[in-house]
Amino acid sequence: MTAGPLVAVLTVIADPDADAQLDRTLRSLQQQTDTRWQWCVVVSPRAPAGCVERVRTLIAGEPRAVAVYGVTADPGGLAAQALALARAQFVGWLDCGDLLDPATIAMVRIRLTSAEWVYTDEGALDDDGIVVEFWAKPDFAPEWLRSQPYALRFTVLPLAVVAAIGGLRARFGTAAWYDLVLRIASRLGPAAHLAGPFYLHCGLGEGAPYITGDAADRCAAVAAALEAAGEQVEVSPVQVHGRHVGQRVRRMLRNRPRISLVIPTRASSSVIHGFPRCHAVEFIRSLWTAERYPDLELVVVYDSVTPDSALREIKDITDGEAVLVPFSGPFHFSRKCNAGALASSGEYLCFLNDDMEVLTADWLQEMASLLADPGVGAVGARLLFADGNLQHAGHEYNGGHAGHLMFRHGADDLGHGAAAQITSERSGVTGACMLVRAVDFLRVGGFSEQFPLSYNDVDLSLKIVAAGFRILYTPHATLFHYESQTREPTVTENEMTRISWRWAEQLHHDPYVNEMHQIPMIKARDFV
Amino acid sequence: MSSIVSSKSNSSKQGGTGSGDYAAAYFHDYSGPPYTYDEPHWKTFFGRIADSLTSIFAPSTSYDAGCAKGFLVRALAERGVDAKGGDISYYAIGDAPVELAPRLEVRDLTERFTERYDVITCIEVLEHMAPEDAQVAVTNMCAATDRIVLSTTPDDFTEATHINIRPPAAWAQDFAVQGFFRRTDVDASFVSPWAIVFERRTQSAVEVVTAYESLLAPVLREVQEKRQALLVTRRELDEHTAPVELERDALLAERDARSAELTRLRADIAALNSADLLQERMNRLSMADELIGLRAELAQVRVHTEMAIASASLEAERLRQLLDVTLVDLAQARELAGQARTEANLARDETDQIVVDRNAMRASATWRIGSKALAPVRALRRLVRR
Repeated sequence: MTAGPLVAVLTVIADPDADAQLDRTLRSLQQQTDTRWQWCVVVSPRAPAGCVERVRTLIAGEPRAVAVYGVTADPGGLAAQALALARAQFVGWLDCGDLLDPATIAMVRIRLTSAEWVYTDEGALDDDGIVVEFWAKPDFAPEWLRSQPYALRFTVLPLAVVAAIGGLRARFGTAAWYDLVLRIASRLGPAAHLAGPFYLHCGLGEGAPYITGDAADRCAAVAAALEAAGEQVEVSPVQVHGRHVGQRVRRMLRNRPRISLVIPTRASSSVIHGFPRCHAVEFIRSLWTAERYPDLELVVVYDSVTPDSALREIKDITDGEAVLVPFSGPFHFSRKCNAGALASSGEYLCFLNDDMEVLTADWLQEMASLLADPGVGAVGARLLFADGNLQHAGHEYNGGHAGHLMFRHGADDLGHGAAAQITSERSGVTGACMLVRAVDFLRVGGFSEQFPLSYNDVDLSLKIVAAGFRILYTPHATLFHYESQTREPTVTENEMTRISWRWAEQLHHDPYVNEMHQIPMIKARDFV
Repeated sequence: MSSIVSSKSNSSKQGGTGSGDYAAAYFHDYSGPPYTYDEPHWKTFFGRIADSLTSIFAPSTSYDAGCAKGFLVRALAERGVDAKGGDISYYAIGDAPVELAPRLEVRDLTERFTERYDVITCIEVLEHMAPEDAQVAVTNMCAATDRIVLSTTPDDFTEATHINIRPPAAWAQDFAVQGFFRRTDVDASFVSPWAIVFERRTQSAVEVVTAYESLLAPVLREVQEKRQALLVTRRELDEHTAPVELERDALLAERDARSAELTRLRADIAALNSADLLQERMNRLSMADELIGLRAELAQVRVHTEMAIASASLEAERLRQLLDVTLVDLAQARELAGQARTEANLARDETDQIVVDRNAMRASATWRIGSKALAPVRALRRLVRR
């Protein structure tokens, strides 16, 4: 066991009435069960007069704390000054006025015996000191981190590595810590995730995600991180009803691979928005516009019940370019999609249902730009019901069951730390709108024929993840999915058993579902 | 300077050709190398003719009837012959070089010659003249020499100015009428394949027949033999080529048949592909999926087994600890039991001692007396207790 502090906690005081809050921050540190910490405080020159004196008085009795007067008013410079004071193995950030759970340092120490760096969840305390809000974060997810500064508090980084990569870069201002975390992530790889509200905000705010600082600084930090990796990007802030929830990374597509849209259909109709519509034809009409993705192929897998008129119309709309694949036999989603995939010539395949409508015009470009990353295996989109509620914002696997994240919540819902509003990782996405590379799709055996009706997209997603890829969800590609009623959405018992045989572990331990929300896996033995 | 002999206007003759037909255009279109004085081909060509003429006939004087630009005249003159020439074409005669001009003249051969010559050459001329004019030309030439070298094409009908093509026999007749006969001993092919040297002879029919027969017989013989040889060669060729041709035809037929079959098979494959191949690929996809599914299942089993083993070993550890504790308890219990036994033994010893003491006491006189004295009290106590 090394002597000396484990974690140097950095705090910058810039707020005018900060000293009141400073008191409770210091107390939360003094109440830590593990006493080996150091507190480095820098007071901004913009803080009111006498603040430094008050700070000095407060800290006088605490040998583990040190406070200095900042030489610059710029937030990035102040942060760097605080870092310069650190004399511990690790370093973490604590905003003035926020608290740490008493067990934080101890738990972090335990976790650091098997990981290089770690981040915790966040929460909020009400006036009575009870945790009333909880930001349940996912395990480490690189794209999520680029879309949102979610793994910044309470994040503990090894000081030696921080120094080796050049410490805090003052030019990123309020996002200097974010920039540092991004660089550490690219250097050390994934962080360990300590579940639980160890970092606490005081007072009820707007709830998770707790994002502070300047949006432009954040976008600059993310852009710098991607440019260092050789990508050309445009980063802009994402706001929902005026509230900042993260960033959007627009990647420049260097090449335009051919994309085949595979649509299994019966060309049936149902009543939508009060009018009878033949979904497939309407959808294809909205897809095949003059402004569509340049190298596009349309593959329609039709049934024996599909009326000839529909096929003729489809050929008409696409000037005969549509590839029509006849399919015979009882309804089998997997086989239909596989037949469509085998008839395609595209480098990318996008599986679509026939009862959908495009909402964001550049949906396909957005999805294709995400698939350009060789570490990404599949991309899903945000799908809305006719009433505007979420039909799909990614899959969520818990307790052995597969569900849709935030099903039927509002399209702009900020639940789960606004997970549905930012481009982020998922364990799976729906086959109603899924973009994959043709080679990868074929290599994992396509849609499994063991799941004719349901769970075929869950199985495919998990196969792709097992092959080493990540799956991304993007809300910047949004479509309506009317979920036609002509097919009974049943799950047969067989399919439930089979999915469990293959993926029981994964369906209980989804890395993007917080540990504290996971339903534990109950084994028969435990009942004995 | 050329001198004009004839003043007749040739263009008025019916069916004939005149000077105008042999102007610049004629010589321009003349087949072969350009018909100019610089052209080495013609110089060589006419040079050879001149060489042969001088070596065979050694003439002192000569006349080239229809000399065109005078190439032969020049050649002969260069070889020391007093050569002269005449042509109906003003253009041709005018085109000759200055030094040759005195030897040349514009002459219509239907005009009589004024001089005699050792030899007259008439090369590719008579076919250009109207038949009656040609007759007159023959008569005129025969009157001016004893030896005529005649060359006139027997079959070049395509040239527009060849208006009087006749078989060689016809010309020979005309000359025979004039008393000129073919020199069968002279091979005039140095001029052309159909050239003949006609010479004035008084020949009897016998002499003519002899001359012609001696020429004819070998030719006939040669033709006969050549025909035979040709036939034989032809037959041999047929013998050799026939099977080769048959084979070639067979191969071509086979190739065509195969080509047709290939086309048919391609069509069949295309039709089949869409069904069978698709099914094959679907099967392959399904197999890949099964393999991956089995791997996933295996991974689940492995995880479960590991977890089961881990929990089993934890359980074993727990039981072991329980056992240890139980053993300790057992040892303690044994020890307590031992202590209890020891105490019990001590207690027994004490009791034994008490009994001994009591018996001793009961045996004493004091006890016996006292017990008797108290007997009635004891009986009363017993009554009260009931």
